[in-house]
Amino acid sequence: MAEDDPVVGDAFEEVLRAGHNTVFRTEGVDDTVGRLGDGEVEVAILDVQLKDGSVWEVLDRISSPHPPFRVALVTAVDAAAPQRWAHVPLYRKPLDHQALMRAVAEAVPFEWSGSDDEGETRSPNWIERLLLADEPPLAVSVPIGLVALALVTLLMIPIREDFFGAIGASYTVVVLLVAAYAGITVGLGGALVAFLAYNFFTVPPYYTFAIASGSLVLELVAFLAAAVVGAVLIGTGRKLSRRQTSEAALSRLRLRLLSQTRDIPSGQVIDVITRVIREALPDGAQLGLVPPGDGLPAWTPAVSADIARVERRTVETRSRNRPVLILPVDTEGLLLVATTPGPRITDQDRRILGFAASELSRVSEQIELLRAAEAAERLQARDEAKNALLAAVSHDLRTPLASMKVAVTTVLEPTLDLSEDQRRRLLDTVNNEVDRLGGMIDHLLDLSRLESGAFRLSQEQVDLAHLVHDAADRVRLASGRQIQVDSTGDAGVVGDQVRLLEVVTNLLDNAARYSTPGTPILVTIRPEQGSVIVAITDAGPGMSREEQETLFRPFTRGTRSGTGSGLGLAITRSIVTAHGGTIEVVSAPGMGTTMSVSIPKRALHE
Amino acid sequence: MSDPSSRRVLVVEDDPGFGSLLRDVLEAAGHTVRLTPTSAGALAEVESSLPDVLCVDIDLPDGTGWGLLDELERRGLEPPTVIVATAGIAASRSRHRPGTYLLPKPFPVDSLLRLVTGAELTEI
Repeated sequence: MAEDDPVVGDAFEEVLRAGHNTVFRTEGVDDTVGRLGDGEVEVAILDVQLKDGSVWEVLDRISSPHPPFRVALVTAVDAAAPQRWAHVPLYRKPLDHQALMRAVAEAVPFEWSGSDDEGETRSPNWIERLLLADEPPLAVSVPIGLVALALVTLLMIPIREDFFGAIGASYTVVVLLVAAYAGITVGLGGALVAFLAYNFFTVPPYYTFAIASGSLVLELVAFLAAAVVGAVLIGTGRKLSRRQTSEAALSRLRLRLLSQTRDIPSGQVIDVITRVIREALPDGAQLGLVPPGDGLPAWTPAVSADIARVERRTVETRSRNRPVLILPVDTEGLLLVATTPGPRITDQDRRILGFAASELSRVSEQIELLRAAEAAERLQARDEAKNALLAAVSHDLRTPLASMKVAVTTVLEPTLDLSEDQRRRLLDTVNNEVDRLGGMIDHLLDLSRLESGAFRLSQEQVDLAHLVHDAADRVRLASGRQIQVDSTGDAGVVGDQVRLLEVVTNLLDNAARYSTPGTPILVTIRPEQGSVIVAITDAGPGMSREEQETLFRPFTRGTRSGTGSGLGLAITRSIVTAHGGTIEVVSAPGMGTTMSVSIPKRALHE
Repeated sequence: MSDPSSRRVLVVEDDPGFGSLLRDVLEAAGHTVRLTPTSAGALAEVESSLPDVLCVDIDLPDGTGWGLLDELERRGLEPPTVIVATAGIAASRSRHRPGTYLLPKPFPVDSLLRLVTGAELTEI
């Protein structure tokens, strides 16, 4: 029993156990499929809506061969069973005790109409082959029919006196075979020709269409009626059985698509569909999916493709002596083009291709929707980032403003008796804060230019080892910290010297500022796979995962800072990204921090 | 500076420039000032001796000013006057405790001095 609702499940289980049944409970698609495959289950009572999917998925996934079991379904909502499972009884919840027992009693043997591809399919006998083959073109079928009738006539002429009764039967057999081989139209034509030949060659008086006696007229009319009815019946049967076979093939194809596209990203679904369809077509068939503006395969006439696109209809044509079918897939002008090896595109292939076009159209529509949703999401994310930046800007710009306001109003405050020295210190504060505010605004402008791509980096040969030594000298001087630089291999890259110096200085500054005073800072420079890596390691307090995540966001400052603009790392990352490089953090609380910058050796081509 | 208007002020401010400026100004106005950049530091300072006035920045490296006030309330260590310095869009949060004031940055020094010495402004 598969039931995702625990209360309903418990109740059902109790009822079933009371009837001395062994009950296995499942909730989702996977466990139900697994349970049904283990051979323990005799009757499966399955809820249509399972925890993570529908019961149709379960039934479709049970592979052949499978252990025998019977199945009945229960549902809480109006569930429409797909055609292939329409024969399985479906009970509407709530189910009382009796209804549940009835469900168990009425469960039907689990049978899958479309056995899967690998399942053995009986090879058709010659009659079936005759019925299932494509109708040959008239240029082939009419001569063959005529030859067959001529042969029968020649055979019948010598025996027309002695075995008159065999004549009608022989002609009937030929007409039926012709109908089976070439369809209703040719079959009816054959019936007419047979009737005329019968009359002309084998009914006395011979070699005229005159008929000697009334009983012979009756005989001939009866033959004509039988031949016509036989041709119609066989021709119709031929059509039906062919349709059924191709329906079965299509539903197999549908199932294969379903199973192969279930867990893959929608971007790849189109590839899978075209691959599965190509496999379903005969050897030598070619298939192409052509977006508007892309080149058509050489075997596809451009004029017909334009007609298919503009008139949105399937166009059949010939090119290089092969049949070509062009199907419009979506309103954007995506086309499915196919060519098959035979003289014509068979009905079966036509159906497969029609199915492919409709599947592709569905998927391309979904992808379009997905794309629109992603674009909207990106816009929203950008909006949110902008809002966060604005909030941070207004917050952070206010701090130097607050200092200035307090300092200036203190100088102006009549009730305070300030010394010259105090006054001077306050004015120094204002001066410093004006610089800080100016620096923040410069940084903000830099950041916005870097992020919008308006900032042009120069492309020069830069030796990162030299550059790191320069930056280390500066930071050593400013912070008094010990900085050790190790470099191996060629550290040459192409980039903007000034900006890269800013990156390294900034990272060293941060390491000096946030790490434990007195501990050394280690810098290593090494080439690696077309890039040069500069890794700066400090023995500081390290960062939690959350801190690492927000590290590069504008106005995120370390917990023990205060004087930075809050933009340094954001700018650093933007410069690195503009060089086509990456920046990574490895850190954990108490473990120190390593910042690794990777800059590609070659310039980015603009 | 007359002693009756002198207050013991604890300033909790993580921006070192602004913090020391506040200290200088309040000291120039005759108050006794202690300065700490974090909530944890503030808790330790209040535990060691309850100030008359707590001037707390809303954004602290290890939490918010509100968090600090909640913690103080939990420990029953609430100074008579609390000034919450807000930056940017004022963090609106209704605390109906008398003696708590919002002071949006940038503020003129006389607003701060009036609050510290007890001349009423808008209570929140």
